[in-house]
Amino acid sequence: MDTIKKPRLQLIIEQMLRDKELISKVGVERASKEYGLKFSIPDTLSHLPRRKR
Amino acid sequence: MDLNFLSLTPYPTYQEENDSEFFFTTDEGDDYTIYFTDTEGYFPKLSYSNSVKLFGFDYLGKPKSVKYDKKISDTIITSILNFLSKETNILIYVCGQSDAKQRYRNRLFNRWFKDYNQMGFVKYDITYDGDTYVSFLTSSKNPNLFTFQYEFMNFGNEYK
Repeated sequence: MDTIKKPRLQLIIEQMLRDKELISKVGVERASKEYGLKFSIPDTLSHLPRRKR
Repeated sequence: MDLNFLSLTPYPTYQEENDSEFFFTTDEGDDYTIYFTDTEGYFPKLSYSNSVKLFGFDYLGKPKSVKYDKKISDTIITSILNFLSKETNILIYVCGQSDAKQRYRNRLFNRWFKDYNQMGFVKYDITYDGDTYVSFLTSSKNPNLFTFQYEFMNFGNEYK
C-alpha cells in the first residue's frame, strides 16, 4: 500500500491544531500533566502577579 | 512596555499557580486563560525555539455573557504586545477549527494587527486547504526573522 506523504509544514500545523483542541477540551494543567504538553511563562510577562483562580 | 498610547483597557491578568498559564476574569464573571505553548516539539532543529511560542486563549467553563466586551480583546492584545516587546520573541497563532469559526478568527486577528501594530511588528500568514490559517508575528528587528521565515516556509517543501 502506498503511503501518502504530507509536507512537513502541514504535519506541524495539524499537530498544533490537535494540541490546541486538546487544551481547549481538558485545560492547560491537564494538557501539561497528563498529555505532556509544555507551557511557559515568557519573561516579558513574568512580572504579572500570581493569584489563585 | 508602555502601551498607554494605544488606548487599550485590559483586565488585570494574573499568573496561575501552576506556572503555565495566565488568567483574567471579566466584569460579567467569565474566566479566560491565556497560554504560551513551547515549540521545541514542533521545531526540534531550531536553535532558538525557546523564543518561539504557540499562543492561545480560551474561556473556562461556559461563558455567562455573550455580549461584546472590548476589554477581553484588549487583554489578549496587551498580552501579545508584551510578549513581542522582546525583539527575539516569535509568536505563532493557529486559528482553532473546532467550531468552524476559523475564518472569522483569522479576520479578527488581521484587524487587531492592522489597528494595533504601531511598533514595527511583522506578520506572515500561511493558508492551506482553504480554511486553515496560521500566522507568525515578531519584531521587524528580530535577528532571527529571515532564518525563521525561510525555515517556516520551507517546511512546506519537506516531505515526511
